[in-house]
This record gives sequence, C-alpha cells and structure tokens, in this order.
Amino acid sequence: MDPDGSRVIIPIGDLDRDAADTLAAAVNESLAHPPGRLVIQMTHVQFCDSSGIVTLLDAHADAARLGTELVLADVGDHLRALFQISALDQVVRIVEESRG
Amino acid sequence: MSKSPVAEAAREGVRTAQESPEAAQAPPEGETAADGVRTLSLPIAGDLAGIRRLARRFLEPEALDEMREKNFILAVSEAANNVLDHAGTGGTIILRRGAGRVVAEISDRAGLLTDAEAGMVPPPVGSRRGYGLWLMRQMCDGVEILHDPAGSTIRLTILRA
Repeated sequence: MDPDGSRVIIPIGDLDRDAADTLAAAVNESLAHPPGRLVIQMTHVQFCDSSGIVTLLDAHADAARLGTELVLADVGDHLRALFQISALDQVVRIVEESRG
Repeated sequence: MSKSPVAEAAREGVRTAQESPEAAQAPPEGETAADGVRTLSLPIAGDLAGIRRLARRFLEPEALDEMREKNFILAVSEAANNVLDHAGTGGTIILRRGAGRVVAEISDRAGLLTDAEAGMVPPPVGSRRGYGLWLMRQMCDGVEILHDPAGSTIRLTILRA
C-alpha cells in the first residue's frame, strides 16, 4: 500500500486467456480491502489480446463497484495502440506515473 | 509499513507467462517451395504462447518492423483464440513467408465462421466480446474469411512495409 492509498499489481508475461484467471485472482485479492486506487503496472506485459482486454474491463468494473479506481500505468506503445483500437482507454484510465 | 500479501505479490510480480518445452523445441523453419516461399504449419491445440513464439521465430528473417510484427502476431493469436473458443475441434495455422509479405491461414473444421464481413464494425465501448476479428482487421493489411464444406479459414496478410 502506497501512502496515498494506492495498491500496485505488476503482472509479468503475456496477458492472454491462460493468464486471465491469475490476474483476476490478484485483482480480487487486492480488492479484499478496497484501496482508493488500484494500479496495474504494465511494464512487464509485452503482449495482451482480447482475453486480456476483457479481463481488464471486468477487473475495472469489479473495482468500481467497491469504490476503487483501477488504472493502468507504464503502458508501452503497442499496448497503447491496442487499448485505443479496442476503446479500452475510454473505460480504463491510463496514467503516466510508475510506482511500486 | 505493512506487508500485505498483495504488496508481496506486487514485489514479485504475478507470473503469467507459460513456457511449453515441446513448442520451444519444435523446428522454426518449415518447407521451402521452388519460388522461395517458406511455409510453417502449426496445430492449434491450446498453447497460444507457444504458437506466438514459433510464429515470431518464423517471421524473423522477414524483418518486419517491430510494430508490424507485433500487430501480426496479435492477429494470428486472436484467430487461434477464436478457434479454441468457438470451433471446439482444433485447427491449423499455416504461415507463409515470401517476397515482401507474410500470410497466415488459420483454419478450423467446425466452419462456424461464415460471415465474410465479420469484424468490420468495432464492438461497443466496454463490450465483453467481439474484439477478435475487429482487432485482426485493424492489425493486418488484409483479412479474408473463407468458408467451404471443409471448414472456415481466416487469411491474414501483412506487407513488409
């Protein structure tokens, strides 16, 4: 927990159908005591597909229901383009700062 | 400062990558035809990370720029993902690497994909489905959907520049 009430999750690897459950479980664990903000730091995610997009949308909705804002940080150029094409960035805020 | 399990997880990272020894050992090079076009055939069994790794290695000599390569790998992976989601029968990926272009044909025997225009319209904002073909069309220079009694095929084409 950061002093400002954020939690950080740092997934490592490809965010595809095989990783969806792992990330969802990590998000749920973080939401057991809902922080003000949940940061998913994408530094080590080189690949994300439609399964990853849906997982992030679900996680964002779960967090929102508990009053937590889920944001993405350190999003690389390719993923940024992907999130724009899929309109994920119209739902989930992408922030510049890097923490954790 | 408290040490919650989440903080621990954050420090170590949430490990999501899969490694498949079988896939890693498979030959990256397929056959070379008389016209110099190289072909690699991959079964779609469930290990998408392994498919992506082999496809990347197959593409290396074609020297696509980084963005194009990533776009193409994503499109191939999405097509294979669709086969796993909908076809229920497995499928095959055939990659062809030739002069100035790379083509992937992703086939399944179930033949559920019949709409040649599928994926022309983006899914609604926040949709939980419908991204696969839309992303393929955005990521590739050409996307064709072919359907015959033997099944369905998506043909993805990306040009070198």
